[in-house]
Amino acid sequence: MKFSRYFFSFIISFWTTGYCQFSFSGALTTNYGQSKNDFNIQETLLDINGNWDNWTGWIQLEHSDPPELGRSLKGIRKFRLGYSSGAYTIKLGDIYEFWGRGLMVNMVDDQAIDLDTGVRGGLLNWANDLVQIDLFGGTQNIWRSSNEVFGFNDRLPNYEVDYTLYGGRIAANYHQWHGAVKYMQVNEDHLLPRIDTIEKVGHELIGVNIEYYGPTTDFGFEYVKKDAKGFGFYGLINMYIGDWSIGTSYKNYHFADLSPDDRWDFVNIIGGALTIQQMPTLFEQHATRLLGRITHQIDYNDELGFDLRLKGPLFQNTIFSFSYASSSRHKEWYLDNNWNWIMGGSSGLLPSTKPVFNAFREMYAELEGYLLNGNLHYNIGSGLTNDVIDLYLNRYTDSNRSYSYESLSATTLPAQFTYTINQKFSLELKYEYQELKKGVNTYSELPTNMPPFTSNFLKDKQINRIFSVGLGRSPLWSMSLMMDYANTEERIIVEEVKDKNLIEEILGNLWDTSLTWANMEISYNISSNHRLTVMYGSQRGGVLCSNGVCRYVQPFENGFKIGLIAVL
Amino acid sequence: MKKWILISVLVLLASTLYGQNKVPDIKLKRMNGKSVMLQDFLKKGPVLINFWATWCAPCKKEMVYLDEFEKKYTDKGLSVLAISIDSQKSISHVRSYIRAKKYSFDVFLDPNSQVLKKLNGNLMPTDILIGQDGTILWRHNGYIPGDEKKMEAEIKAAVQSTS
Repeated sequence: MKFSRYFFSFIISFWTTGYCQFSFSGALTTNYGQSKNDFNIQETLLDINGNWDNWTGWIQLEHSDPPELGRSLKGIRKFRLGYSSGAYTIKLGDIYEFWGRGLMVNMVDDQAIDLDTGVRGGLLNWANDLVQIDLFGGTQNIWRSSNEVFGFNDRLPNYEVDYTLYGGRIAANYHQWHGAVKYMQVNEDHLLPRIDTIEKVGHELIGVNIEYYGPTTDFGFEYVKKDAKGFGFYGLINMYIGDWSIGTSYKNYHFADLSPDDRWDFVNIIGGALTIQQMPTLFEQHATRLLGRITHQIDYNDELGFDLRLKGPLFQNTIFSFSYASSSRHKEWYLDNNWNWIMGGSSGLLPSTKPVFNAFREMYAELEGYLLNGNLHYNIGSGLTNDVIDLYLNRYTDSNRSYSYESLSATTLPAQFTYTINQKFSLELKYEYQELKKGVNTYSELPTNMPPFTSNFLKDKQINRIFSVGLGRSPLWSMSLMMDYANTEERIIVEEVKDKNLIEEILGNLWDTSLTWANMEISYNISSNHRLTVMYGSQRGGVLCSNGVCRYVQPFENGFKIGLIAVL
Repeated sequence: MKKWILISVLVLLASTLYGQNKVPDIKLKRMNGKSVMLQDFLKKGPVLINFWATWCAPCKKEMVYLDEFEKKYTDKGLSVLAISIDSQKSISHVRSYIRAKKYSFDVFLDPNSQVLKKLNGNLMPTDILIGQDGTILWRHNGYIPGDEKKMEAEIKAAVQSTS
């Protein structure tokens, strides 16, 4: 584009804001990064919201080459035009709706993990105080990364599925009750790369949800039936006794039965839960790094589980939280005499704790509060995690019973302290400690040469530590120094000697920094509408999880990142 | 790189000089599923909107002061609206957290961040102070201890201009 076109656009903007009733606002987010291991980023997003009378408009422009995750784009990424009058609302363009608890419709745009389940089409909504009717229709393109397709890359998705969706919902409110019935039809164009064919598949979903919201209790459930056999059920109940709350949730998602070899193959296996069905996960969403790296990867096709939650004040200014989560697959899978996977016994209505059911359990407790007349804020946690990631072998023979599986078990202790020095300055300390065992477990009734446990790491367990110290000067700036240390790495990671940055070189005088990732970050509020962030150093790669969906993010070695946020 | 710099400079210039700051009338959803319009609160006086999440540590540190301001200035017309962007993964924690802390401000849900995007939010927490005429008086991203001083000064100015 020539400079004259940019200038012309600016003049138009100036004229419309100065002399028309049309008002607009927007936000700019831009990130630029360069590292010695070529994890380079150049990404700019510009959101513009406009309003005129009953009309609203939104457009999102993107210029990325490449973004941190996902495909490069130069142009319009999203747009929507809306009209609202009385009880009616119409939206045309990119719509994001959330029905019930998400078992049928949960349209999200999570750029942190490059997950976008929005629909491009139209929505018609009619609502009064008692009844609400929604009708929508449109298309959806879902991009994902798969090693079943040529050109696999952690950052760049290489496989696309196209959907056409039509749906409707009737919801009602009556005092503390809320309920809805809903229907959705989805037509899928599924590319099968092995035979270079697009398979056209139709799906039909019917659902219902009911919720009650009272002064001392709230509860609800949602049930969705998909096609002939698939279904999903979610229920929860919370009770409030004084300032304390106790709650439990239950999930029973069973949209497909897939063997351990096929479980994550969304390319060659058709059917199962759709990407628009982003359902409750029922385990703690962790904000700390070390716990975030071992988040359980939920299988929406086949997962049964529950959680228990307790929260309340222990003494003045201190809150205690406790959660326990358990889940597993519905059925045991085993190998027959021909080494084919066969479905076996069922876990019933509650999750199994047996490894052959891919059992997951996590217990987490946290204390959050204030000391020293409110000048010291603290947050201390403790997590115990056990997760069976993959089942490799499970056999019953006349002479032997044997199985092997990959598992993860961890003890994690995160802590965070913020001390207010005076009206302007504050000090923040974060420390996380984790002992992680990850490897292959082998069991056999008969003697075997295989060891009972083979660690994935070069040592028996991996010890991870994160230490961060920060200084803040309200309301202008904050800076932090972070060190992310591991004592060993996974055997499969074959890496050249890590490119050390200046911070790691200095720390190298104190300890061996070959497995330390250190960085310094400064954030500066240029004004209440503009914020600049600069980071220098390295960031450890690993699994990044959000909403139960995980992506592997490669390490960022010895480089810098600049970020700017501006609000129009 | 040059295009990126040019786009950023033009937009920054436009935003600094000529950006308008009126909010549209937005539908907000309470925890009990019922909806209200933002304009219903603006009829009473200025509104402080806070976007937060149960997994956001700075958000939780800031909330102590939001509760304090709500109690101190509600008689002067201020409404504090805390909008949680917790997704379906953590949405069940919202009510229990608010209840354990005994916070008195209004809480709403925005599980797929559509209200956040309409009001141009990016970071957690995001605070937006809106005057009774719908004009955005002040906004702030993030929280560093001490930010509450500036927030209270802006609230005082907003309620005084209303009375």
